[in-house]
Amino acid sequence: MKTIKTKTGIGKWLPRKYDLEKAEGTLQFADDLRFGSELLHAAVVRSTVAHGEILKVDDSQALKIPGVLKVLVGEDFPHHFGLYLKDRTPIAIGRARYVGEPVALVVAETEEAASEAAKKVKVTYSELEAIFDPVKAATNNSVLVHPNLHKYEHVDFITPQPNTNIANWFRIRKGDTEAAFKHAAHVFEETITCPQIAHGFIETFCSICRQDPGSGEITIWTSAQSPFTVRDIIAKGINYPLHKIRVIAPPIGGGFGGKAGMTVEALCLAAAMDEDLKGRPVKLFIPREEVMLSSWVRQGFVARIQMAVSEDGFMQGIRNTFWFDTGISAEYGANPVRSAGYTSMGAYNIPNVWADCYAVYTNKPFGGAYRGFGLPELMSALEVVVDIVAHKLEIDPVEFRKKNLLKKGQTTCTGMPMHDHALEKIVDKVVEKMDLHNEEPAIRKGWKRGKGIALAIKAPATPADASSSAIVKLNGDGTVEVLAATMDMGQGTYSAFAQIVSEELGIPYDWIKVYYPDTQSHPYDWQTVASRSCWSMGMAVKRAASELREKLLALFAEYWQTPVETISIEYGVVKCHKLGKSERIDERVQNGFKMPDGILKGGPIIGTGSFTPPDLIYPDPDTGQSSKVVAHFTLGAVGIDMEVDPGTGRIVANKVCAGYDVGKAITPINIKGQIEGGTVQGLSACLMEGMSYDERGRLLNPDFTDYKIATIMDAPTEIECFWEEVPEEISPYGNRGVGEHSMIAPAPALNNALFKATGMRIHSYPLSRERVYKALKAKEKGESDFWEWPYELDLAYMRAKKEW
Amino acid sequence: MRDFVLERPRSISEVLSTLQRHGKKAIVKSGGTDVIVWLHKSLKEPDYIVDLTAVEQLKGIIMNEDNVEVKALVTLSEVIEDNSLNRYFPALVQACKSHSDPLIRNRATVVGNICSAVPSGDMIAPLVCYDAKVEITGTNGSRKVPVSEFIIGPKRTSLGADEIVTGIRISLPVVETSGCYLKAIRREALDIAQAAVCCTLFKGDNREFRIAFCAVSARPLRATEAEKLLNSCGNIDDNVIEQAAGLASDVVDPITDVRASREYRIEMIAELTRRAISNCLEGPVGEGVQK
Repeated sequence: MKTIKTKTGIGKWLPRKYDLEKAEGTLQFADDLRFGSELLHAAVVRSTVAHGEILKVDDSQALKIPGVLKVLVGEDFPHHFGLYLKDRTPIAIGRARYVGEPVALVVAETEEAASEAAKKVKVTYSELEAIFDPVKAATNNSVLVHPNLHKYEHVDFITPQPNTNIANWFRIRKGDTEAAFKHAAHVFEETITCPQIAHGFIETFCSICRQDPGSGEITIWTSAQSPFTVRDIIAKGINYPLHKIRVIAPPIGGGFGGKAGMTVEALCLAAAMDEDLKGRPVKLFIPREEVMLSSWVRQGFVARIQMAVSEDGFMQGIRNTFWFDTGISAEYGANPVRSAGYTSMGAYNIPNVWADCYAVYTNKPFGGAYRGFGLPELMSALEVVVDIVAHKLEIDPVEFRKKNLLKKGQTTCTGMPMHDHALEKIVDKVVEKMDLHNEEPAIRKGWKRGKGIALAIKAPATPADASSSAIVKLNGDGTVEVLAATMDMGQGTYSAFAQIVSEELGIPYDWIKVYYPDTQSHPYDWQTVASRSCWSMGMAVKRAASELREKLLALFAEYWQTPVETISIEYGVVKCHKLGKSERIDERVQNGFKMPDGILKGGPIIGTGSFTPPDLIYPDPDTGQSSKVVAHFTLGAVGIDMEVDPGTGRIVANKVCAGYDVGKAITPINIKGQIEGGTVQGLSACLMEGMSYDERGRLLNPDFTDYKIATIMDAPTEIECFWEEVPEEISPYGNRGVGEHSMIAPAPALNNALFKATGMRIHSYPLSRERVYKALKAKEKGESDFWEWPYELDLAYMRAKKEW
Repeated sequence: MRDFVLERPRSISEVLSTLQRHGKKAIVKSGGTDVIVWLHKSLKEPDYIVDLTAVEQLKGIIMNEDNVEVKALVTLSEVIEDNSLNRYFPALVQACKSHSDPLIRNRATVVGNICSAVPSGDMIAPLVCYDAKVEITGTNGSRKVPVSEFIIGPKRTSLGADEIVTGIRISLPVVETSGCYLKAIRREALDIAQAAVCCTLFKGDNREFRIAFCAVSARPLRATEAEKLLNSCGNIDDNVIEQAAGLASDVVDPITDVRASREYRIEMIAELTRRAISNCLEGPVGEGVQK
């Protein structure tokens, strides 16, 4: 039984942890840490060719620069790293596979010397044919990005196809798709593409590594979302004892998936473990211009979706082929492929599903985790296809969606029964709040206005055994320290944990502090990804706090000689109303209670908790079927009212309404923030984001001069967000993840609204002004659909006038 | 970024002697919003940076009887806040407002924008329309050149190594005017023009349109044919505007790059010209970016 009173428990609107320090500028990020004159600096020499044998690395000029100590090449640190598939080396060995791949690392006494020397390293290549188009790479093996794919180690649930460019092939085979399509009244096929996009976090990558020359122990300070996974990947990569690696993660300035897994740490470690440098800390700071070339971005995506629908408008079957452009490494990118694959049905009840999802190697920077993990891409396609089908069948798109909604007890494409959720109610609310069926005239003169809707669905795409653990410590002044190795990167998890602890302990929120992770002090957590922290780590924190509470209450029960049920913790004070007792928590929780019999009992009070998903089973590799492949799905819907200027192609969102079934809102302020932020990020991806390359594979927009993300001036005029709370069964308070979900549906909702406004379907994201303008011109010529292959710009470049 | 020596002269004569001393090893910096980026990206590696910001003679907007001087260190924010410039040169103010964001505008200077001479410089077209003169001082004396002669190609000006631009001077219009600067961009703030059109209308007995472009030609470019048509027509109806927009887009010669294709830029010149002429005819208008 829980006997506490608090005004700062779950569900309360409270100021967020660490916001003050961030506003004051006192929070120390990795780059702010000081190591004195011992510190060495590393700078990266990057490949200038998209694919080529490295013939020679000439460092003679670089070494002449004062302060330069060493130039490392790939052979100096010949280890393969990877979360799911060990397919990358920190520095290219023998062959460079994309423009920007590290081919050498310069280490110097100063940052300036290192970066000057990096410019002086001369690398000669014998160029090889490169491949950039993922569909071509998947279907034509004339260029192999990884000829040694068959030699790479990988986890069981990834299935690389040797002697091809396919790093993972995930399959769904549910029901009899062939029969479904044969007998369906209507069959549709559509293709939709998304380019690679970048996270655009404010803090770039920064790592500092040091190896103790005596003990061999390695310490890594790094801008990482997941310190324990950094430790695991490095230990496995260099075959080193886990306990000899310590990872400290200071606060990070945004992640969005871009700092998940292991990013640039091994590159920095290559220098720190070098025999000539060992013992001195080495810092690797990645400047903005190199961020997109240094670690993953969101994968490019090409979807071909076929849908079979019965005469009365029920979805009978779906056949999906997804090509994810994973660039030169699929070590992380292999998994969003799976995540999209096992959500092949979207939010719909489709009895027959066939899906082939490929992670395809190309000679481009590599794709991996990005907020939404495969689902924004998938739903940007699927929710547009559903809209197209509804219009072609002359069924109202809202009715078509509601009619086919995946309800409680019906099975997903992996054969797992769907749990209860409020999606139908959410759809109704979005329709009502947006007045979705009311076609209104444009606000701006000469513009065209439309309203659209799209659904969101996503599950945490983690390994089945992804675990969390936490320690809650009670101080001698009644305050509480929480050690939970989740990274609070702006999403506000530490506020959530403090509210959970307050809920369990009856101690005010302001007395509770959650610390940034250090693998030496914190207990294990897999990763801060997958919108899993409030759920998985939330379980661990709740368990730890309740264990602490039970210990404290038991001690007071004996101290006051009263049954434990009569004691409560109210607003930080321990009370027994029956006896009229009321005492503050003091040093006795450190040094023990002197019991009535004179004996000291207790001592430092610590609560611990851990959580492993109890019932997840990996899907069958041939069919994708499993009784429970994921923990839960968070569902939601987004409605958008937008208008477009046909003269320029500019789109403005007048209003967005977004609702999600969060199970239970732990920290409403964070949920509101996540929904608003995700909506803007989703619209940004929809309207303007895309990495562009020239015909030689050179990234044309590596920094914010030309890689554009939405500013506040581009945000919708109004965002209305709401949530429903149908509780999750296995969950601390019924809560489900919501961090990533808000970014899933804005793009397709806007695309569907654009169709309502103009009658034009655009099949290629982003809906940039130029593309929208071109599409509307095509519409004037009678076209109804508009495509531009993601590599259109490469083609444009080949025939363009590039310079005056 | 390579090491350099920072020189901070206090007067124009000190600036000139410093430049003479260092020759081509020096580059001049005012607001620094371009220069610092060039250094950071190693696009320029000077031994000396001659920082002008301590030179009092280069500061201020000075209203004279029949002209205004915008000195070399005047920032875009100062232009935006100046009442007289708002009254006489609305297209210049709109161009300033369309440039980057408020933080950068606090540093970036009008003169710096034309000295960088990138085809997408937002100050170029309005200064061409207002027939601004660039005032140059060097060891061999001073000279004045129109903006269109000052910029001789992408990132190239007629400025000598021992010269600096001390300011620009624009004659005050003697008749009522209207003007606007319309810019095609990828998002609503902090973007470089894909294409932009500046249009000014000098009213009075001899009504005169002037139209100039941004980001669609190697050198400053006026739409002389379109201007001629507009200036010769008594009644400017939609048909005339359409023809003028066509003439305008005929003379531009843009490139394709990651920001936009040549085709889109040309189309935007036509569209924005259409809108700009209408805006000018409707009278004084508000914000710079297309609505």
